[in-house]
Amino acid sequence: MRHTRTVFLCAALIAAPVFLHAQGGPAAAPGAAAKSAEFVPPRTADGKPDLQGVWETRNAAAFDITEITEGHEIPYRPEALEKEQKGPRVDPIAHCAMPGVPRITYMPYPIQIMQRPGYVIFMYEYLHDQRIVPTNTGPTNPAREHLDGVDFWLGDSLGRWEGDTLVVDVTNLDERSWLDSARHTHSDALHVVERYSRTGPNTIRYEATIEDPKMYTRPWKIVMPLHLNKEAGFELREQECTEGDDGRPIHPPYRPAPHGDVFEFPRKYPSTQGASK
Amino acid sequence: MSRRPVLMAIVPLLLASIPLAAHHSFAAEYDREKPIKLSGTVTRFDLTNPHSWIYLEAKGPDGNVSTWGFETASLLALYRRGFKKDTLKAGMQITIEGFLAKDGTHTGNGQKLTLPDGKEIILGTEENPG
Repeated sequence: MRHTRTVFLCAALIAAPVFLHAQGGPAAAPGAAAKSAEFVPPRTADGKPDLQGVWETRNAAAFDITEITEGHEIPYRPEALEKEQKGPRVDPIAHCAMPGVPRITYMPYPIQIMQRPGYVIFMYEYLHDQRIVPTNTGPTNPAREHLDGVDFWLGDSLGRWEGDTLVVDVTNLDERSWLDSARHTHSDALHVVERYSRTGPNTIRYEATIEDPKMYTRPWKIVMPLHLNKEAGFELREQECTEGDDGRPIHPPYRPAPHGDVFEFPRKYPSTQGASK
Repeated sequence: MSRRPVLMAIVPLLLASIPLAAHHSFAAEYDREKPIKLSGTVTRFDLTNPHSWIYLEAKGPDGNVSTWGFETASLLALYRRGFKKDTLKAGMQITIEGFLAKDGTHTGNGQKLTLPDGKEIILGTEENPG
């Protein structure tokens, strides 16, 4: 009994500073302290949180996504990891392929977000990519579904507002894209749910849940801030990528491998090898 | 005023040449004088940009069975004609009409596809309609 009393006393002493701290400050009402820390985002004319501006990441996730991965580890299925290690070794973006989602977001290039009623428009300086995301999708509009039977490098994005967070559901992603230059890959079953929340005058919290039952044992998450570019007069410019910058002709034959289940980009131009070889 | 008919004749010609320049040209790789029609078994279908590709095992004009590759219209052009990733699956019996490549490989530019149920789909790009 004596022992129990000692533990109780210790617990009370430990808890006391916490209690005192919570009582301090101008916001004395329970829960008010936490609430006052939440940023109230500016709003667009139609009352939605205003995400507009030029944003950029300040990390090296484009080279290795595990930098921003919760737990810094990707829960691969053993067979998926084995397949990845036997797969193509040239980063698709080295051949000017679009980076895919979520990689486009942490490419080290600025992103301009623009809003119109019913749409959030992402303009990426990198390869002048764009995503025009409708925001009237989700449970309130079940008729608007993802496309069937077609994949794109940047997938098919359906958006909705959950409170002050923009949620973008992305599927139909081309299985050839990589998540980073470290050759972390995915399959055509990739499903990304992105969340954009303003956390301050100069920051957006970007979170993405990455699900791919063919590749990973469970969904996993990446989290990073997007920082507002406040440089006076800063504007997005052209960032082009064309194969052939070394003097070879542009538009080399784009002939996916006729056999095997992995894509390989042609190594050299001209490709004199036909599909029959 | 008398120049207007000339301009009206020239402008459409100029406009018409734009899509031709936007992709590599048909004439650079394929020979319109060498039409080909092959029936065989699909081995692979890539619904992709800038142009999609259909591969099939088929008996060529020389009598040998080998893999042939046919370049077709872009992903979106085919998708908007009703194509999906699984419209063509390995093992399906199809017929393709098109034009042979100039380089002598077993490659062609696909113009028309006939599916196992007899349905025909135009494969050509907009600048090279079938």
